[in-house]
Amino acid sequence: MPLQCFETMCEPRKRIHIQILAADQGIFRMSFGFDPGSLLESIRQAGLLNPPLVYPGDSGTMDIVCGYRRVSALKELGCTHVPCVVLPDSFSRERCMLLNFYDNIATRSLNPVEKAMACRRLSSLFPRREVLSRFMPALGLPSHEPTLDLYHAIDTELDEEIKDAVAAGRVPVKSVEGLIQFPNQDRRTLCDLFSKIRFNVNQQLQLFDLLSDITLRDHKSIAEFIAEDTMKRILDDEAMNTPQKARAFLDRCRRIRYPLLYRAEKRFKSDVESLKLPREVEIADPEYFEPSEFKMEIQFKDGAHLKNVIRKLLGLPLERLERPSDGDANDVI
Amino acid sequence: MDLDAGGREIGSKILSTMHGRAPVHRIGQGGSNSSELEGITLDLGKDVLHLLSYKGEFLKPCPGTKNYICCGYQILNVGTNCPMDCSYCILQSYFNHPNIRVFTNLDEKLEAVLDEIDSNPGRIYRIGTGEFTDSLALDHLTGWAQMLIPLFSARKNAILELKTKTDNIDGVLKTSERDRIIISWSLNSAYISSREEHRAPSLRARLEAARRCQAEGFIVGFHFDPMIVHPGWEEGYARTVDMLDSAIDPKRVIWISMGSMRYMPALKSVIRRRHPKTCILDGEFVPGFDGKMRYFKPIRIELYRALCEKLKAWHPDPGLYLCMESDDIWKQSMGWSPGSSKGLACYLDSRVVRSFGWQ
Repeated sequence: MPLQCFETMCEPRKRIHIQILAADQGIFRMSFGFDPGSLLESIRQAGLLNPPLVYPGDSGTMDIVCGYRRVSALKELGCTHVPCVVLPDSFSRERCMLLNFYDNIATRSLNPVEKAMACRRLSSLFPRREVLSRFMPALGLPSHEPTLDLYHAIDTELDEEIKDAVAAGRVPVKSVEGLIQFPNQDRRTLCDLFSKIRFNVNQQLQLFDLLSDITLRDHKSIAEFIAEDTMKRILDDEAMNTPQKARAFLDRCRRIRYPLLYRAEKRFKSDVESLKLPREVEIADPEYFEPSEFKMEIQFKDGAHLKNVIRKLLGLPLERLERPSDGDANDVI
Repeated sequence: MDLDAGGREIGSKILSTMHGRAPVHRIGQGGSNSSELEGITLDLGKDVLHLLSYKGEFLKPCPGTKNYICCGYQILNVGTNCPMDCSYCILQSYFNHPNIRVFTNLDEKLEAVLDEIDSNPGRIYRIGTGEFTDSLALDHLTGWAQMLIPLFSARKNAILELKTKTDNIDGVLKTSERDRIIISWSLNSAYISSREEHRAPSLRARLEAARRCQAEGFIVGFHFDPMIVHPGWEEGYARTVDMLDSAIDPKRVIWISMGSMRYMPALKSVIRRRHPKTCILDGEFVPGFDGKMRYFKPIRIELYRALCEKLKAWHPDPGLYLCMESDDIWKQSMGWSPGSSKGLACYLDSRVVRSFGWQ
């Protein structure tokens, strides 16, 4: 819509009492987790340069279409009245939403929670296929049904504390899909854990899988599991740095989830190390012992070198390398 | 019901049996992918029967799995999905085809199927209808048993296996043919059956149905699949074998298969969502060669060895075989291996010849 048309359609600026500006859960709101510091300073120094756009709401209030942050800042500064542009009644909700949407994406980057809010609000007014094809690319998101569902879930299923973690990047969006499967209390426990130990995304995803399986199998909550001595010891160990704690924590979870496999892999690794293989020789990862054979790789320069390596190998107690037997299963199943 | 499905014999039979008992929605040109199906499908559509014409091949090899020994089964594609709701069922992940589907053009396509069998007299066809559906769960509606048994019984180089988890055998017992027909049942421990095989009759009911079929002259088979580790599993499977012993004459059992819990990774979240109290995912699963999650090998060996021992104590030659397993697992749990899928097919063909002769 051309700027001139917009200006002629709106009333001149009006001073609106701050109390009738409906803020918190406005249907157009796309702001979350922002630091008001710089905006407060800007308003203090330069005044309100761009008035908020508002729309007559129900019961005498005014819905904030654009300018939620500005109104919040003015409230904090103790202002009682805000100069606003009141959008005419003829503006549809869809038009108001588009105003706010394009105003936001043109002027700043939205964090994941704000993108989620945008997706949800747009979905309430526009057909799904339009949200997918038009608005998601504008938000920098793929036009992908599961992605839209994920962002809806971020807006509707996460509580404020977890949204804070997502907005701040402590919980990457990729991890949210895994996080959502847990009940609220467990999600908070996990976010709390992530604030103590910085797992990377892959580690977080592995952790979700392991913890989900362990807690369901053993009928306990994540909080109960993390409070157990073996897990607490890792969290409290001051000798380990954060990446070491992350690896140790995951390793312990894996051991609890897969006791038989873990034991077999540890024994195999220990047996291979005890062989003290020539540096040219590597025994491949046993791939969960599913293949019926192990694999060995030998690097050599020429035939004479190969012969030499093989001679060294023949002197080693290779019979130590054994497959896990079904007898091992007796202890566990 | 697709518009062209009701006029056919199977479709008419079902509509007439169900008359007045369930609403019928007629679907237009879009057929099974029509958006008209949306809104009448709840969850997996287990309460919706979709009658349609199938455009694909009615007889095709069982998809089996890569890198493991498979039995060379042939599937007669009569329909998909089933009214039971076993937590481990792989059909849960086939969301692009919800509802219980019955292919009403089966009778028209059977001639081509039978022609293929008759054109290859030197080959034994082991054919079943229980891979993508339960062979008998809907037999009172579809009449599959009464349609198929006479046709396949007349083929000297084929057997027809009707595999079920039900006791719905009335249609089977109304037939007079017995040659080259196998009625088989899926079995499990009572613990798994009661907790995970929702809407399926009890083991006792299934074995009573098997006993009746045997008494009426049928050859029977059994499938312990999937075997699942659970508290007291060894005793649980042993008890099922005891029940088998009480009801069944082992000399007239053609084969008993064993397979352990396995699933494509994508199925896990579906199982968790639909069956939150299930225990079937509690075991130690590792990726297999075919991408399916399987129990860590020593566990599988232990499962099969224990059950094999029990079954061999019941009868020295019950026709035991493993489903989708590797050569070394065969050797370690069964004491022998067919070596390859071809080898297993030969073994099972020999069981057919032993039970029904060969002409």
